[in-house]
Amino acid sequence: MLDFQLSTIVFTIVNLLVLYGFLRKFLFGRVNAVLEQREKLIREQVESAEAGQARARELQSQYEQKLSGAQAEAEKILADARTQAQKAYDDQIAQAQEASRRIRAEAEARIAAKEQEMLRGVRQEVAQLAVLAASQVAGKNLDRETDRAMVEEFLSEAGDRA
Amino acid sequence: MEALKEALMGALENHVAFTIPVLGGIPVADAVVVTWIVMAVWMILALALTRRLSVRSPGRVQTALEAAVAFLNGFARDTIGPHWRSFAPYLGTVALYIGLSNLIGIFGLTPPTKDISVTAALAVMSLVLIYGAQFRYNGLLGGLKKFAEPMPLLLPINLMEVAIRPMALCMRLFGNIVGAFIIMELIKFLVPAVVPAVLSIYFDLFDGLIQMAVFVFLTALFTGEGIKDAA
Amino acid sequence: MTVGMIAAGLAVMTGIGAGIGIGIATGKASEAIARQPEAAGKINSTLLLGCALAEGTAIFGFITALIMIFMG
Repeated sequence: MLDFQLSTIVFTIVNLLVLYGFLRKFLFGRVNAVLEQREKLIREQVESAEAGQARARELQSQYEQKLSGAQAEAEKILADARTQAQKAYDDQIAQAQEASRRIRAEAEARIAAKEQEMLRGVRQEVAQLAVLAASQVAGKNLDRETDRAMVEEFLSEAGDRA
Repeated sequence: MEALKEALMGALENHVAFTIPVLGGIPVADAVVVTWIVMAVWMILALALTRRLSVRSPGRVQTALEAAVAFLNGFARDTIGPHWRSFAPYLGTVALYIGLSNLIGIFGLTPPTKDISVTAALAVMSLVLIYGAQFRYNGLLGGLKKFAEPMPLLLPINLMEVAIRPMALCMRLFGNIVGAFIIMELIKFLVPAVVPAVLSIYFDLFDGLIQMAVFVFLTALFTGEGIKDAA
Repeated sequence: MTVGMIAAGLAVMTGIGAGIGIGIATGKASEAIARQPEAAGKINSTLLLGCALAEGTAIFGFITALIMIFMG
């Protein structure tokens, strides 16, 4: 029982090598391949998840930027609208003031013209009255044309003096 | 007493199963035949268990298989160091082979590890592995320098270890299995029923697995000792 | 009963040393695990290795005894 048999030793070594080759290929090789594939898969998933997160963060910052830009734009539009409205309002006011001023001027001019006309009428009548009174005073009919001219000259002098 | 001795002698003898009639007859021992059975069992199991491996949805068998291989890989990484990858399959193969060889006594076959030639072959393989790795990863000079570590004074002891380590591996495995075998035979001789079955759980199952672990562990440890700090 | 048998018996006495050694190692390992339960794995593997080495002497004695009995 304690004798070393060369044939058994050789057989066992060959058997072991065959078993090693077989198990290495079909048992450990396959299982290790699966383990590595799973590791790779997990690593890829983690990487893609991280990439997705980074991208989401980037998009978020982009949107925030856009949002703040839009806000600024809205404020600008509002300000523009406000200044425009202010200008329109000012224009309207100015037009209205202009119109009222013109109307008033026209009215004043008309009033002045009427006054002038009335004054002229009054002066004619006063002249007639004066001629009438003077002719009565003089007892004779004054020559209409020359006397009236004289009276009117007198009256206008008097009017200017008055 | 003489009858017991005769029975023991008969049981301990390494029978020749048959002889290949070439080169003047090559004897094929029982151990070799049982080794073939062990190999066939593991090969069929390996093929059957790894038939449908899936990366995404492993079944229960695959999960167990992966856990076992991952354990083996972790053990190899811890003991051997950075070059563990090429050694893990060999360690696993030896573990499976010795494990089933030690346990096969339960099924009524003679364990191959009871034949000292088989354990000698295993020890020779370990020897080649240990010193082959030492020279493979350290270079010729570096491998030689390893014999003078940790100090040159220990050179003779380190050289003696080259012979002692495989001897010890061989004898440890053989002695344990034969010892358990002899004790089992004695018990069977004294009490043929019940008691041998109970004790067989300790001597065949527990001791067999422990010796398997020890053999693989020592091989890995010696291998790692030589190449752990190699680049 | 020959002298060989006595010699075999003496050779098997190595078991005493191995038994004591393994006992001490296991006792110390238990203490170590009690002190540092988190290092149990490492302690266990070291213990296994130490026991295997200590047991080796017993095995050598045993094989010597076998040689005495069957070949002497």
